[in-house]
Amino acid sequence: MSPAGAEPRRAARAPLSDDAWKRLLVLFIAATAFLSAVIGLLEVDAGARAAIYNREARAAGMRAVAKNSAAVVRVVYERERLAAYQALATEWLIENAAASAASSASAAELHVDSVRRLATLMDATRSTSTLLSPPYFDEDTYFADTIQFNVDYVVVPATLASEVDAARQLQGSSWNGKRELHAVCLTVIAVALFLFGLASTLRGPLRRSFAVVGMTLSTALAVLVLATAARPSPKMVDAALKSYADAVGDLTYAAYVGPLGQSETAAARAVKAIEGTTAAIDAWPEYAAAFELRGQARLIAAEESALAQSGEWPAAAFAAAAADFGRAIALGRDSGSLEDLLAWALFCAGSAEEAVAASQRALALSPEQRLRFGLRLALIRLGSGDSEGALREVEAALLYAEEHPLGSNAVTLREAVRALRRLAPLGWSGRETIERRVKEGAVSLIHHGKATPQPLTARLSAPVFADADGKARITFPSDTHAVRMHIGATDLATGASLVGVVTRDGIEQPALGWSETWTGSATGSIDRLIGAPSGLTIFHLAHGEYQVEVYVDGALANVGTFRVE
Amino acid sequence: MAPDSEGHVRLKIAIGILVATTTVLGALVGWRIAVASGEAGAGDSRGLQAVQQAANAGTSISTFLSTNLSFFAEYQEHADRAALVERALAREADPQRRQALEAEALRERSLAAAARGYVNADYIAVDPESGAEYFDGNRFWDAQWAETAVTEDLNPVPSFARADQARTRARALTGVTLGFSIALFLLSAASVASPRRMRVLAALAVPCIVAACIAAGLLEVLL
Repeated sequence: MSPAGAEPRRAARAPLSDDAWKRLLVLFIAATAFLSAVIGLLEVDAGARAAIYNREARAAGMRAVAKNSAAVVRVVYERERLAAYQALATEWLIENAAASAASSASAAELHVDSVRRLATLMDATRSTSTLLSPPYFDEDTYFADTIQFNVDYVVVPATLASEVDAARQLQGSSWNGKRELHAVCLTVIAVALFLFGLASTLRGPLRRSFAVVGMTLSTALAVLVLATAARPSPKMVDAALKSYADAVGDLTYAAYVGPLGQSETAAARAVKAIEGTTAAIDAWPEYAAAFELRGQARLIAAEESALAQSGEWPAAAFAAAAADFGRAIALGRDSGSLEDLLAWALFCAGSAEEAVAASQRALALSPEQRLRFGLRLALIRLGSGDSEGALREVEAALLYAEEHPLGSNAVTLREAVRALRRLAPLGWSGRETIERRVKEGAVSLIHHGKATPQPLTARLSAPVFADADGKARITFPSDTHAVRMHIGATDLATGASLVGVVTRDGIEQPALGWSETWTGSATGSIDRLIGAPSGLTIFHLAHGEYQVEVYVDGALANVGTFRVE
Repeated sequence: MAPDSEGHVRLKIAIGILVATTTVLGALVGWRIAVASGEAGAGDSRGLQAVQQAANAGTSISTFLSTNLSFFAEYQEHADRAALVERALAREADPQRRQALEAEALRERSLAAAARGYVNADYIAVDPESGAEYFDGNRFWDAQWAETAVTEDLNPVPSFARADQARTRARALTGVTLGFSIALFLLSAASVASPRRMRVLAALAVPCIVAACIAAGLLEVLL
């Protein structure tokens, strides 16, 4: 390189004069001030949008509460009308029966007159109620679908309102996040301005350093602000919210009728909920709640399916449910309940180890749900062949329930008993022991608040079932009003608690069960009517296989079965 | 123009005055932004209060409506029963049965009267076609709502609209401050520029200031 060529390079590297620095710094300060004005504008805009969304969310929340209260009042009114109608229908049945049994034509005529009047009144009562009109009322069977009414008037509108509220909150918090970031940028810009100001009072390398740091800061802030402003905010998709709310309604219906033994209807409604949530997801692919709901719907559809009822698990359906739960978690919707559902779906799909890990995460996230999640973990351990581990989980869960009595214990315990019954065809080793322990724990907790039953000292004979004439039998005709049950008792302490749990086709019938304190002597007999309290009723026991379990101080003492044709 | 000429000095003074004026105008707009933001917040609060009052009113009215409907249904059921019994009574010749039917009719009429006592009679209407009585729930709702609205604000829409308008004004005024910022930037550049460029930059700044002032004035008047 020639010296002539080196000269211009040196000239290019020549330091700026003081005057040039001064001008440069003034320009930097002015440009940074302009940038701060732009950020201020964006901050005000984001703040305004956030305020509108937050306000709308609060308003929607208040409206939702009011709507829900009004809907509950409406449901109460409709149920009153239904009760009035059923009272008239009962009178009508009694008068009809009396007309048929009347000894003379004139006596029968009296009852027939009454029947006509009651029929007119029944029609009039139906005109005062939506629940007593189609589509809720079936004019052929006289069945009023209170669950569907509840879904249509309470569940779906309340869900929709709460989803609108949540979506607006999401939008509000997104804009609020932007506003906060802009506010931080404004603070950092003050630092850049301070550096430029400081640089203007200095000379040499320090001035250059401050100027460079200030410029770097300003440039970085400009890029950050642009990126934040360009970042899209979540959009509320009305169609998605509506589909989601309808799907919640379908799934609520399925969850109601499933435990009542209506598996076919439950599975059909769950499938409808899958379709609804899929539509919601199609409209809003980031809709985390819809993924969670679809996972739940897939679980119920699979559990209530004909295949599952026959003892075979549809593993692919459970895997799809697990995938939905996983997606919901990935979208930021993590909770103990969601992890618990994921655990069950993973287990049913054949991933036992992952299921245990998810179940433990559920317990860590919501330790207050120890009973529910612990019983689920027990099922997973039982299904994995670890019956001892399952028993340990059951004991821990029941003990937690004893120490922390919650209103939902009864529901959770009944669900666990039902799940264990449903798993019977799978033939898991140790299932009977766990089922008995959960049943005893349920009776003990519900009736005595204790997780462990008292040791059984009384001896009860096998229950004997008899008809109204006292004739012992196992099978009863279809027009049976009530079944007499007789059990011989020895060493039964006065003051012992007796609880009867009656199931029909595996479904608990709380209205037929009983609870009493033994006041008789140590040796005696327990005589009960399985049916209406007096046995004198126009209603018959429904067809099915009945099982009566008798508990003494929480311990399962005896089981008997009979059948109604 | 020489750097130390009289014209240059005057221009420098003018730029200084313009910088000061722009700063003061910017502060004034800032004050108006704060006022508009305050109005927006107050409007939101008033609107939310109206939403809450409307929600409370809705809950109360639907509860009273339901009670009225329940008692009216009860009243109607007993009245219908009484009418049916009285119809049977008109056809009955047997004195013993007549006595029983009379007693039943009296009982039903009494129960009907007792239930009717709990129904707001102002809203019991008669269907002109069938001649049957019915409880006019829609009129009950509208009347109760109107009555509550006399003493309480139940409509949040005007308050929310005012809040949104104030918010729009605040945002637009913040946009106006950008005009002042550009002007300040140009004036700052002018203050350190060569005499020739100084004039050009200052000349560019003035329309920015004027446009921002006009925009701010229009926003205050129109919004």
